[in-house]
Amino acid sequence: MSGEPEPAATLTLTRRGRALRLAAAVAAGGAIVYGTVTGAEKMFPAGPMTQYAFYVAPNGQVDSIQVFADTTAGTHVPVHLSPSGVGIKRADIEIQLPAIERNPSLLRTIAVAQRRLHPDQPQYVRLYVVDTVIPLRHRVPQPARTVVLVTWTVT
Amino acid sequence: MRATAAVAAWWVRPAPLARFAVLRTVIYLFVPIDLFARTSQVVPHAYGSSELYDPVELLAAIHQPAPQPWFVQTLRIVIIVASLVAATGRARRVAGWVVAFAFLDWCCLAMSYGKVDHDHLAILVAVFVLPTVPGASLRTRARSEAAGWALRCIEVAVIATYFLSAYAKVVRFGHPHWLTGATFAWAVVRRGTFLARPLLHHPTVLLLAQWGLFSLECLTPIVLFLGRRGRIAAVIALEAFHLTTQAMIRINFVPLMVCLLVFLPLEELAPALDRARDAVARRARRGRAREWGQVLPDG
Repeated sequence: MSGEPEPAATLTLTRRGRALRLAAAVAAGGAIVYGTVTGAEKMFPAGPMTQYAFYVAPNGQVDSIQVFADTTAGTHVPVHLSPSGVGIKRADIEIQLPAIERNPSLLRTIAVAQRRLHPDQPQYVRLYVVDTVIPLRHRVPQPARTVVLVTWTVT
Repeated sequence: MRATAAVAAWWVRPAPLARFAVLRTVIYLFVPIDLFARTSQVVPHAYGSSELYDPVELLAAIHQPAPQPWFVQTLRIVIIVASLVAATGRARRVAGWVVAFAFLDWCCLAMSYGKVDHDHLAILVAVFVLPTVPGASLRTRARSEAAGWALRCIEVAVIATYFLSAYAKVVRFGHPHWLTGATFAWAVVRRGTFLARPLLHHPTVLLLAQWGLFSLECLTPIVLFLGRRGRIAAVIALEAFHLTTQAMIRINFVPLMVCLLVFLPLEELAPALDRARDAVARRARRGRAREWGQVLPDG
């Protein structure tokens, strides 16, 4: 047994292996650059990095969407827009809001998910999409107001 | 021509197979966690009806319909089993490619109801390059060009996530006045924790933080060219940044945090564990020797 460690081997690629890998890197890199420069978000996973990439005016406003529901128990409750709630996230509703305003029955998925995922809880009979508007003044939030944007009776 | 050759050589520069093996295990063990941590909405989405299903282009191209509960439950089991097998290094190709395509499908489903996150680019690149490297194990001292290529792809994807975010902010979407806007105030109003909300009354601090983030994102390509100590420092800084954003505005970028480990000298992990195990064993032996009492002289 020798005390000297053996020199570490270096395993090289074949010409073909190297060419294939470099071509794959160029193709993936090209897709990501294209997605970033001109592609749409729907090009996921190669789409542009849009999170927090938008401009908010210092004297603009912050909109925060919530969904509320009248239930079979006669209560008015916030809908949990989360994976442990009805699956759909707040940001999903916000991004699809124009379509929901045009066609409120798109909210049906919330009632269906509630029925299938939480059958033991009160069910939704009417849904409200509410926008909490927080004006900014020199980047400092001012008192909020709420606006009901959409109501839909579950059918 | 010479520059192209230099870039090609840089991209396949041999890297330690042990580093690759550690990262491979970490990523394959993280993938099942991601299904419950970052993309857990896939299953409850499927229990709703399909009205809000708006597939990303990859899913639209293969005409994948809105998923049903049985499909996503099965897909989740397939990903978990294949990931755990792949984490052992066995069935490298079969398990690895199953994870790659199944996890890509899962992530695409997660992004097909409106919101599209960009914290999964690096981990998706990772699951597609991991099955391409033969001969990796925790204790080998060998280096390989295949491992070098795979690790470089993950490194570049990690850095692209930061750098291209900066591009999106000031060129594509926010334009240069993003820098003087109130995006951070917007984030804190909507998602701020008790740690961040006091900052709403100090708008200059939020503005400086906005510039800090943009500068950080612009500077990240440097990490690709740092030495060992610089890379470790960069990983600590970037992980601290992500922990801060998690604590302040609940922005969770765990898949990217896991992939950041690619910049660490992970090949030193197994020898370090061996040394620690030997030290513990030596200490235990000494302890037992004392329990048996004083050593008697021979004769």
